Amino acid sequence: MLPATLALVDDDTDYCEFLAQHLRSQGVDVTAYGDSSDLLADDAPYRFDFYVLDLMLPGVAGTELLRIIRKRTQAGVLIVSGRLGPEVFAEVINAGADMYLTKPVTFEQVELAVRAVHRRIMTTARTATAWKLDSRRSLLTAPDGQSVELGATDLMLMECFLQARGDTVSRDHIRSLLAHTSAAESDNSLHATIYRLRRRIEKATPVAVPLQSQQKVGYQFRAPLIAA
Amino acid sequence: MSFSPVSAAQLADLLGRSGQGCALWNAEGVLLMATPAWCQWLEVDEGASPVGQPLQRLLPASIWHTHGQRFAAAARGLRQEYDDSRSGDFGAQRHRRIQLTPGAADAQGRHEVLMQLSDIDREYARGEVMARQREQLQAVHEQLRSHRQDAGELDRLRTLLDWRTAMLSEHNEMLQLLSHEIRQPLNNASAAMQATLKAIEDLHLADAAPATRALLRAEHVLQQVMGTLDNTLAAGTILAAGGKAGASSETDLPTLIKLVLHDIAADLRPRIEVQWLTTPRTVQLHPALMRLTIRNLLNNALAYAPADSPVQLRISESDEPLALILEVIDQGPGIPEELLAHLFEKGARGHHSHSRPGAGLGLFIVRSVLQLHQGTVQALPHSPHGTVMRLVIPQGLAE
Repeated sequence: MLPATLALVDDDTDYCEFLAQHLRSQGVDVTAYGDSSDLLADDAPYRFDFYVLDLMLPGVAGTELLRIIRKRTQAGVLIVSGRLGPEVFAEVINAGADMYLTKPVTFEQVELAVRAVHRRIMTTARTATAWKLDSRRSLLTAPDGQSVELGATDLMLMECFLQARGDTVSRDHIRSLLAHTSAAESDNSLHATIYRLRRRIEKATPVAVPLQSQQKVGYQFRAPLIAA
Repeated sequence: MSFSPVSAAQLADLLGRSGQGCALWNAEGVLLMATPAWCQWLEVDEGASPVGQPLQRLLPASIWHTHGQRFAAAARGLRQEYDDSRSGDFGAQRHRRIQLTPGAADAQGRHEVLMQLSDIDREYARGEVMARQREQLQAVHEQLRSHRQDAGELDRLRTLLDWRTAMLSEHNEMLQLLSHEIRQPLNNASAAMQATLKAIEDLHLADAAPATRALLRAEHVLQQVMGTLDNTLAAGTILAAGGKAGASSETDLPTLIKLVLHDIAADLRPRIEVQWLTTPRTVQLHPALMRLTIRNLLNNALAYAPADSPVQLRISESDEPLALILEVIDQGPGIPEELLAHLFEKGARGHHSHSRPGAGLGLFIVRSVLQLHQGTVQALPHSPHGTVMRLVIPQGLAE
């Protein structure tokens, strides 16, 4: 699944031209900008279904451009940059990027990443059908109708997310709820508990699990979730 | 009020009891009076009634030797003052100041002489204490100076280190810049070649095979050059970060694996078989560095195993401890014993490596990246022949 419209912002004209050509051949309506200011000066810069950005840009720098875009749209954002390093990676993910690819990349690789991100977005936040939590039967039902049997700890976690209504649930809160289980003992086992819950859901349904870790803060269930 | 003048005997008796060291002799050198303290110092036998005897005969030879010239000078009317020291019992030093005062002279100009001894042990002791203190002060002073020198040396080293660090970071920035400037054009050339390949294919020419082969070969070379650049850059970046754990993030594993396969030159890609023993989707890792790591392992396996042999990339999980397991399995000759110990060091190269580009950074990066993930990498033999490179990447860790 590819987005219908896509903005490509990169000052490497060769790369821009080849990539735009490749994506257009796949049926995507690509608008290319050599400078971030050109995108921002566009009549409707936030109309696109997807954004592919470089980090080192003339005009507004890539990370800043990403923050601006994030204030206006939840469209998919893929960063494709020559900068490599753990700190760069953390920076762009925190600024709201969905994925980060390091150059050099082939155009098939960009296409692959765009597809993956777009598919995830379309099957999580965008889906009209909510996830349903049946506390009495310890059952979570995914938007595609598949159901996941939950253990006692998993159920407790899911009830937290239900009460939070899409907000971030802090680690401390989860830890206090899990106080009588071994999962509360350390951050490691807390993370492991979340990891296991995610795996349990992944095994039951191909739908992307909207469970997101907010660095050093807590966890968020980024999709509609209702009580069954 | 009446008084009688004191007699010489009375005076001598009083002086003696006061503890004063004192003696008087006449112009001929005959002792006229001596106190016990004087006798003791000059080692004269008090009991043998020394008064009336010539001084030279009374004094032991060694003592006469010390004082004889002084006595003679005093006898000529020259006042003398000097210190006399000797070792007392238990090795303690004792000191007396000696004053020789000439008195009346006879017809031949020879003077009678009064000799006085005063105890100056305390003065000497004070001097010694002061000398010791001076020495100590000197020592402290020396220490201070050498500390100052140490501090100076430390400053010098610190400056040097700052300078080296600055150089290193500048070096790294240069590397980043250079690689960015070089990598993307290479990538674009590769893309242009892929587009050409596609165009040739679309033309359905009768004899396109030689052109296609040549283009694939060129693309292969480009991929290898880019791989080497990536490794060099990653080595610089990981090392510059001081091996600190960067942000690993929730990553879509199937997408990552697909991306890695596209990093492998198109002509080699069909040899790779991906086996999903379990199907983990969201995993915790550093995608850019793990992509490079898997690519390095696959490229190694493809290069060292026979040209048409398959290479497996096997994905599985462990529940206890919670971990993602990636294995790259080849049917090559295996890793020689002598190389195993140094396999993950910088510059380690296998046989026939002269025909491949690279500086032996590949496995060094694999190990560095796994350390960054708090994971492990192992090279295991695969039966009947070949190697399993096994990555264990812990999951569910706190970031």
